[in-house]
Amino acid sequence: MMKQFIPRNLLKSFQRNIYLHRGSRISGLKKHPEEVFTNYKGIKYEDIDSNTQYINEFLTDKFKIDNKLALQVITHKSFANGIKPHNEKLVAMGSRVLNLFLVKHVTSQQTTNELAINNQNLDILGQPFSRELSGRLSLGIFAKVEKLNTIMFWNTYEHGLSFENSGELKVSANLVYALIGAINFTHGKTVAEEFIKEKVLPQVEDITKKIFDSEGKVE
Amino acid sequence: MMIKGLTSIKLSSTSTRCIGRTFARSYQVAQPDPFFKTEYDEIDNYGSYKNTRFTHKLPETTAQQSPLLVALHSRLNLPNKYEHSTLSQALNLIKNEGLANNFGLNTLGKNLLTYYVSEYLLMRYPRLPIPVFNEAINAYMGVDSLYEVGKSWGIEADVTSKLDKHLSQENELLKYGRLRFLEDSEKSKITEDGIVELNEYESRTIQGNKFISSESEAYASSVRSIIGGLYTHCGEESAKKFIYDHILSRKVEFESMFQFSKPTRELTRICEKLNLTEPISVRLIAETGRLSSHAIYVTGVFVGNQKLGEGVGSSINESKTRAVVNSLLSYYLYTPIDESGNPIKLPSDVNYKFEGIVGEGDVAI
Amino acid sequence: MPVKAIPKVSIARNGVGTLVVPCNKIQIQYCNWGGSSQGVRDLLTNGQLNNFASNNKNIFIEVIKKSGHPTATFHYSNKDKVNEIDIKNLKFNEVLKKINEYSQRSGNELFKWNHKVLSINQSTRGIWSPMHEAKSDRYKI
Repeated sequence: MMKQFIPRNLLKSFQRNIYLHRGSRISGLKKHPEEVFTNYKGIKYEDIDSNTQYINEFLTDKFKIDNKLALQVITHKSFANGIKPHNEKLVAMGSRVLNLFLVKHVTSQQTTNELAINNQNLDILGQPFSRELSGRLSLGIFAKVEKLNTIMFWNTYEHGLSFENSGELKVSANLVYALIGAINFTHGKTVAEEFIKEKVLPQVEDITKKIFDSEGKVE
Repeated sequence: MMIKGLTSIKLSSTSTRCIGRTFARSYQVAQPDPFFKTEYDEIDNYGSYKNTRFTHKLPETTAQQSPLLVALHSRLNLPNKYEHSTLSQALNLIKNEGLANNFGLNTLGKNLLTYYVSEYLLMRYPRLPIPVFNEAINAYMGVDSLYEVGKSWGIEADVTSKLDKHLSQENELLKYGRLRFLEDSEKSKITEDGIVELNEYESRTIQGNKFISSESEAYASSVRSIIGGLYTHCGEESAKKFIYDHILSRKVEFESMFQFSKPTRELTRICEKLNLTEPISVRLIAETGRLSSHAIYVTGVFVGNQKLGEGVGSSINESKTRAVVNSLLSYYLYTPIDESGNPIKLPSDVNYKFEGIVGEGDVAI
Repeated sequence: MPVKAIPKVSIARNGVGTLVVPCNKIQIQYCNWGGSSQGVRDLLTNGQLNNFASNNKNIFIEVIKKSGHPTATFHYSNKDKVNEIDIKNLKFNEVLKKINEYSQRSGNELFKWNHKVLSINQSTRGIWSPMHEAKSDRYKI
């Protein structure tokens, strides 16, 4: 047998004593991992079905994604300082798929506008309604209505605030983007667009309409 | 359809009171631009929207007689289906002449570009940190890059006023093949060398001592609009091909886009994220000798018996830092390949199969 | 923020992906009377310039009538370069040859490169390093 080269410093047994802190944050002290990897509702970060049940139920078999990826979808970068895989890149992908799909969707409706190019009405682009379809508010509410955001791993300085002010709205909207992104990664763009069309768009259109109705009343 | 749960979420724009503190509503719903004088039947009847500010389009027969348009059309190898009038509209940024401008085409093109550039980067460089990822997108489709693209397509800007055109007896159709972004009053402005007067748009874009000139923004917008126009006439596939041919074929040097502030600490955190249990060690591999006139040191970064990176420097500290930065770069700039060694397929390709990796996001340090 | 990004602008590689011919506009100036413009006048009347124009639809050709020796001005999209050449006393086929030649240029100055490769890409093989030889083969000081 050939003797394997092992650096000297690795041969020494490696030992250190460290205090792991529980409770409120004190600067300089390392937090206990059990506490770091638990979200504010007391749910432990684990790759188990119960954590991703809401995502899996919503997706059905047609759009099924890997359980590990589903866990990544519900993890926000604020959780445990980003040490676990989080959904930043999925959001980047999903928001762009959604925006592109919506642009294609709203311009492809039947129109009588004589300025339409090749029967595609571009005057709808940039209008508040079409912009809000992929807006944070609509998607955040969508996530709440569909209970997608029941289990999320994220952190904020104040979980007691309202849905909007605590930042939960934004994180929930990101979750929807991430979900679309994850489907795009797993199944490709055609399936991701089908998913938006079947599962997301009808609800989101209704929600956005309600938002504009209530906006009108205030004014 | 009744949406359950919606009633429980407060949607008024008045402030909400929570735990003794008052917060103003932070989310602003998009507002319509009154300039366009938009009319519609129902808010969600997309086909009924109409910007009444614009009254007409350039007739196709007129557009085909503009030599500049024909030349541009042929230079870009656009398919015959692509109408010259759309090309002319893509070059028009003027808002208040009644002639339809490129606002919609620009939005369309921007969305197409953003998707395809992001998809390319997310799949090819899945581990790029978000700040670099955003800057890389900017490098491909930011105003500066698209300005260069527009220039390289030989698009001419329309800088002469109506009076000048009349005096030089210029063919009226030439105008429709030029990039129109200046109002007549701005064209006749007197300029002085070395002094730039910023207009309203330009002064909004000042960052440090840089600003985006309305000329470069106009070029960028025309490039986006031409891509948008390609989608309307020839579909998404040809728009995608066009983006790959003209935008993604350009070179971006990713390795020179990183600025590390605490590389060693970052590397430790990444190793922690990757569950590498063995400690990191930075060790000297070779040196020319401390007494040599120009000493050179080669240092490697190791985790257990695996080498992450290597750096050369003229002092031990320099070589150490270079080694750490090199190992960070080789992590961040990883490109997945498929079994046969080719670049992996992208989600918008036909017969897509997921082979790469999904970026797991950055760590905070 | 662990890492900051440095803004960059992508570098053009005309010909990778697609080729956009850099010459986009030719202005031909001639005189209707002077003898030095005879070749250009022939070129205009015998339809050869029309042929050239229909074969090169990507180039916008402008013909200007003005007294004086004839010139041809070539506009390149490459950094807005403009190249004006003299075409006085040339026969029509010689003028056409000039136009053909200059319309195919990139707009850059011609120069001689006395090295093997001119590239913006890094060498795939890397630079040879004496420090990575086996220790026994290294040069000892």
